[in-house]
Amino acid sequence: MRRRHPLARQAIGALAAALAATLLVSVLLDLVPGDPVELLLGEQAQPIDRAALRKAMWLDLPLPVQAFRFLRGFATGDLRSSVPPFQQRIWPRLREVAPRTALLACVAMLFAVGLGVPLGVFSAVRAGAAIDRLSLAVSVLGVSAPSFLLGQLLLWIFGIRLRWLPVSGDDRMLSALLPALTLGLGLSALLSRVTRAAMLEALRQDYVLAARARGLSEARVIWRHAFRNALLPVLTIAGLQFGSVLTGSIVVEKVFAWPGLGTLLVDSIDKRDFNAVRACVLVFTLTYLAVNLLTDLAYAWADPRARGGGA
Amino acid sequence: MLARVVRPAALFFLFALAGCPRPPLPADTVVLLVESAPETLDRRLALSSVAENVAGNLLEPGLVRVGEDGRPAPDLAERFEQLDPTTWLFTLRPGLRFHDGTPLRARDVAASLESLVDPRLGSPLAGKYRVIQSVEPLGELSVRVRLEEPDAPFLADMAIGVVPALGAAAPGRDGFGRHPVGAGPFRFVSWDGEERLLLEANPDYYGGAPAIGHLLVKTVRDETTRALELEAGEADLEINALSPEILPSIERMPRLRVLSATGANTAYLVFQTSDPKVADARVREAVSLAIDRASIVRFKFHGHATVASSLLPPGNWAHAPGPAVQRDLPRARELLAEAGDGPGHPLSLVFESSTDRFRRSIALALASQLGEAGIDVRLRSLEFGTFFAEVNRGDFELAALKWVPILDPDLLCWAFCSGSIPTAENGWVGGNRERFRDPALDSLLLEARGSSDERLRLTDYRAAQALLARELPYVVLWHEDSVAVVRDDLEGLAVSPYGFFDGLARARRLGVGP
Amino acid sequence: MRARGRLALGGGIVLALCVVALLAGRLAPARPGALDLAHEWQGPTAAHPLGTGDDGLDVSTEILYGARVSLLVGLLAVALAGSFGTVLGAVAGYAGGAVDLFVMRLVDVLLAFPGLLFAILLVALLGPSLFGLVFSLSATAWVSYARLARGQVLSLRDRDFVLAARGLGASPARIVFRHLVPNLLGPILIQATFGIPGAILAEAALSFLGLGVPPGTPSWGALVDQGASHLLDAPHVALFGGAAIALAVLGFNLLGEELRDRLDSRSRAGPSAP
Repeated sequence: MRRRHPLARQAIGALAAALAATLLVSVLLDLVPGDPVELLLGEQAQPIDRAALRKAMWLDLPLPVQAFRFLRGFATGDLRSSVPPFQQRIWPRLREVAPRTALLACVAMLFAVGLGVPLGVFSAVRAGAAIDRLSLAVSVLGVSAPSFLLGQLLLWIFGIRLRWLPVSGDDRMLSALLPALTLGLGLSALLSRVTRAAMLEALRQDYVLAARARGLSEARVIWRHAFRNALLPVLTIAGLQFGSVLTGSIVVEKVFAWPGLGTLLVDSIDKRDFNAVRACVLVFTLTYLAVNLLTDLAYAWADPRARGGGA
Repeated sequence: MLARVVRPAALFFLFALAGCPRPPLPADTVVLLVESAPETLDRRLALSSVAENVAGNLLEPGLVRVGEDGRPAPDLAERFEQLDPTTWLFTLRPGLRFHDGTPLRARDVAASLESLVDPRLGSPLAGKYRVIQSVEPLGELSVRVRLEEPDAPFLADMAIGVVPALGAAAPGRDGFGRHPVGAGPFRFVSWDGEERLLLEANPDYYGGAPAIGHLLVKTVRDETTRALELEAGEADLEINALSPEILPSIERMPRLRVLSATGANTAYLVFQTSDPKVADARVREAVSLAIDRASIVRFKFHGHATVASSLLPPGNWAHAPGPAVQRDLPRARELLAEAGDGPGHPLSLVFESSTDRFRRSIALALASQLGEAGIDVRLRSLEFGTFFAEVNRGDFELAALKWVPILDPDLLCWAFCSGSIPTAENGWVGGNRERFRDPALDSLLLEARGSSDERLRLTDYRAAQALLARELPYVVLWHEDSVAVVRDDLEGLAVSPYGFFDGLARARRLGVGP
Repeated sequence: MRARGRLALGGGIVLALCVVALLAGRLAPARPGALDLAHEWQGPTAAHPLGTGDDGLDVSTEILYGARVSLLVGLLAVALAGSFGTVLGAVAGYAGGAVDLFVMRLVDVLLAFPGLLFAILLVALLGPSLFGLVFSLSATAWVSYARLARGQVLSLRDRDFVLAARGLGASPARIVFRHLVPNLLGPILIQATFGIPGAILAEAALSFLGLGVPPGTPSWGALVDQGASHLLDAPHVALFGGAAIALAVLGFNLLGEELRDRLDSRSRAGPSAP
């Protein structure tokens, strides 16, 4: 959705979308069958205890009020877990798990860009050659393999067979490698194809022909002229795909038992900790919207003509 | 251009790495793996089994503990006696001390019990303790508890944690549950609120200081990872945190031992007996005869389970010994035909189970065995909250469930008395979700509930179990073992049938500790 | 992007998939759902060419029958999401104003919402069934069709043939359904071809999280889910199940790219999952 809106309006729209998402998740949580109070207290609980817990979990309140209380708690930082003993503060948990997911997503993006972009450039320069066809095959496979299969495969090879990397563990950096690779590989395949297409397009342009005519070295033509111009669509796609990296982290975190935001989200759904679920969704949503906004900003900054253009 | 991306990213990593410095663990640390983090360390607020286990069995024990036969046994109280049907007298062990060094006195017990129903504490367990009319400290060491009415499970409920009187009722939302003080074998050192909880041996523990100097309770959510950490020696033991399916692989790992004890739990199938399809006891018997319990125990549990003949596990004092049901397909078909569900008009049932992977695979095996007897089974696996809600509303035909842990035989009345049917009027409270009604059973179980004569109770419970084996509102399946996987240098761990962690107070690691 | 044989490979895979789905009963070495508790988690043998999995199910049989489920889920989810999204997008684009604003805000909200989470909650809501699964997957997937259709309609709206139809007094509904939607079908078809593998992947991901098809239904995602906890002793189950998913996705992606290149010489950004 890039339209002729000033950025401020876009930011407000993003915030509105985040609020709507919060309300939407509240509605869905409310609709999901299974009384959380019954689930938590077990069947032996007395009605009076159930009523007390229902009140403590805000379940006696209308949905918009629940959502409002949640947002107020979220904004003031006093938000607490909505399951007994209601002691766990949500913000410290988020501060603990969100950087882990951010680490995962960033390393994954690095993998994706670091692998995909050079691969794309080389295949464009050697279009039709063996390396091009090989990279095409690899990238098609990369797009097709489900992340959890890739994760299982990597886990099995490096974790179980070779014992090279810790399957889980205390060394965050080392144990981030496998899940990040899993998460980034699919995107790198996509990026390599986008890069290739953009490079082919750029190499056909007049200024490249002019640069060649001026007798500049081929490397200089490729990197200084064609590549710089091809980078724009690549970065845009990378930014837009950040959302899929975030969502993908839910599954990948489960495969690798990585204690990040996705794990907290799934755990909280199991525990019926509605505040934690809402908080996770809000963080996911805000991050996604922020990255989109940044992508737009970067786009506008890099190319003032690039505004508009529709969906 | 790339450098612009790479440099901040590299910096980010450095921060991420530096962000989690972790002090080294003491050399005498034993690492216990659990599958989910406790939500609190206050036994009075605990709902999950991990929290109950860590808080109740390691940090804050109660007046009594439940023994292996399901009978309450002395813990902090060295004696307890029932003065009349509604009055109990508990006598504390002399010289008890809390972890902070203060003596544990009768008024701490009184304050702990009173705090359970205090709205300032807001314990979700309050319902069990509303039966208490008054708690009077008699001197330093005795407590008299008066009840509103006779209550068979009361004594077992006295296993609830005893905490210091000071601030017992209003511990503060961030207070006690994160820095607990009790009189248990281990005391609190540190907790990050999630994955890592460090405890140390309590030198003042009345049963003697544990030989394990430090205990790290570490949460690892993924099962394969738990197994690999045990194999790699990154952890020393787990108790009931690995599924039976993975045990054969574990048994092949050189430095690990699998310890097993018959568990105090029972897996069963429950019928909605008010549904005309299964209202005929012959149909229920046919289901029971169609199931090949032995092969499921052998192949799915790899022997780590015992075929059941009664809802009460064999270790329970009121267990009625009886023959295990053998699979008999011809007889099952015969019974179905007699009940009008023969091949021309086959019985068709919806069978509900939870989405847990292992439970689903067992349900699939059961459904296939019922299919061989000519019963058409449609399997539905529901997310646990939904499953639980539907079962509790009586909204099912056939469901697979497990009772755990089974302590007092009064469970039979909870599960089968006609007064225990959950309805909208009673706020869906009650364990008789199958809506089974039998006046003879009611009178046996209610007599046993109101009596403190153990001989009479035993006679009643045996008669009730015989009646249940004929009427079959439940088809009991098996008792699943409590299984601990330990490194081979950990000695002396007794596996509790309940999967309790208290055995750690008497375990030791070879070459380390006193 | 003129890799030779792309059509042959992609089309071949998809065709083979359809054949397998139709003839699963004849090709499978075992009856679906036939259990053999004594021989679970065993490697490939003559009787079980791809080994056995949970409860002794024959992996090859599960994979052959699983093709049916995957295809069905993929096609139905795309059909549902595609038709709903196209119509909504076309209407929004043609009507403009408040309708457009409302639809596009809804699109924004759903785009910002982690799609998998939405599906998780919906599946929990609807219970385990094929229909519930299809509905949950379509619930977010329609968004991309709506955006595509709206964009196309905006560019077509003032073209001569639409103006002519309007001049002849055609109703807005007639203009949208008779004139605009048929002109959208090309791009929508391309999007749908990429949507099918997306739905197949999403079904597998949900099954991997334990929320997919009802137990006993042969499904590739369920195979990976079962195999995941047996990587130590029986890695073949997860690997074969995952390979089937990857192959099917590959086939549809190749086919989609071929279609796109033929219909639209300028190659746009890559495939997008629903």
